[in-house]
Amino acid sequence: MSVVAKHGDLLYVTLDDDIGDHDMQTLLERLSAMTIRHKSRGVILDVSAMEVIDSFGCRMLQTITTVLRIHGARAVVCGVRPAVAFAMVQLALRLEDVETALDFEDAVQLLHVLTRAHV
Amino acid sequence: MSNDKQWSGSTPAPYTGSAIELPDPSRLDARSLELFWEAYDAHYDEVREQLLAFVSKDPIFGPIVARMDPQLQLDRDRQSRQLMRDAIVDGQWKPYLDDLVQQGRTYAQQGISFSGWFQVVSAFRGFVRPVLFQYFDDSREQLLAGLTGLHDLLDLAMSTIGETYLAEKETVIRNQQQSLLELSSPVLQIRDRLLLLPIIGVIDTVRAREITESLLAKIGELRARTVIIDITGVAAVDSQVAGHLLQTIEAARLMGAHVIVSGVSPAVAQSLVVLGVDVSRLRTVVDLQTAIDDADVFASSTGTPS
Repeated sequence: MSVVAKHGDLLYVTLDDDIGDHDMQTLLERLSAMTIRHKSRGVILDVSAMEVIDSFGCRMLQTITTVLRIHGARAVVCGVRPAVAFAMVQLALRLEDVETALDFEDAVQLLHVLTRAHV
Repeated sequence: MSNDKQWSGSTPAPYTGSAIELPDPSRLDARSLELFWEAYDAHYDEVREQLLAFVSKDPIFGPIVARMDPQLQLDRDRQSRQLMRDAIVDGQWKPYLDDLVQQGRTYAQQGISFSGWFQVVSAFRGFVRPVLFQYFDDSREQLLAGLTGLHDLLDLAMSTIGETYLAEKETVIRNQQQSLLELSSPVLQIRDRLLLLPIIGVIDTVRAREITESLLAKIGELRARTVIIDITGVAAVDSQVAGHLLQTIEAARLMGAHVIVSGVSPAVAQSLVVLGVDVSRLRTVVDLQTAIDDADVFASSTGTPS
């Protein structure tokens, strides 16, 4: 499963390597609810634990990003591993319109620029 | 093979290439080989002298023979003669064939052509043939067997040496490919969190993979924020090259890096448009200097040093 933590205007989510399709759907609903409740401005999706990101994973990350944007929050995916990035482009998987950052630190900085969120 | 063909004093580097498939001597007729050996051994010195005279006149082999110490040459010839005897008479083929492989490698590394080898071998054939005719003067059956033995042995030797030559060439090609791959994709750090990937020459699938993998590893290792891909050295792109380039950019972007492409020549720019590449996903600038300036602007806008 995944961990969601709140810090100021931000939500911080770590996605586990063994996260299943159903968990992803649950996560989307949970994030949606939390963003509305806390009026979050930014959400960091940390995928550094994931050794595989498949087409479903890609689509879910895109969906989460779009849904959160409707709630007024910006999402940033961070921590894509080199091997994962390589495999994704080999499989022609894209994260269209999803912001990416190298790691958690960069993601916080990027969200600050994007949303002026307070952390 | 005649012993007269070991002139080189240099020891080749340890063999690292693909394994050589040695021919199988067991299918040869042992009696024919033994008859050949009997005659050859009896007239050994005579044949050796003739071959030495022939070889010293050869434009390729001549200078090598001239450079070699006569005593060392004699020792080697004696050793080769022993190896050939052990192979034919005692059936100890392995040391003989190994010796041939070693010779083949030495000469291949010295750049001696395979056809040069063949000339020497056919000369050897020419010198041994009259010896056999003379030796088996009274028996046509034995003469025929002796000739068969001669040809079988030479065919065996030449196929061994041929295999060695091919393996040696393949090793050279593989090493060159490897060093080209290594040379062609350096990832340079310009300053903190800013990387430069200059691409020169043709990008094929193998190279694209190599470039992308090393770039992604460096992005993670050096925590790159911005990557400049300079393609001044890329003369032309086709749809495949463009595809590879876009994949590299996309992969870097997935890791959170901001990619700037610089040095797009007029020809490459036109190709990109004609090929229908989605240039809206590309951040391009005119040259490397502008790219570095741009990276600085980007870094200050995101509040981090580039």
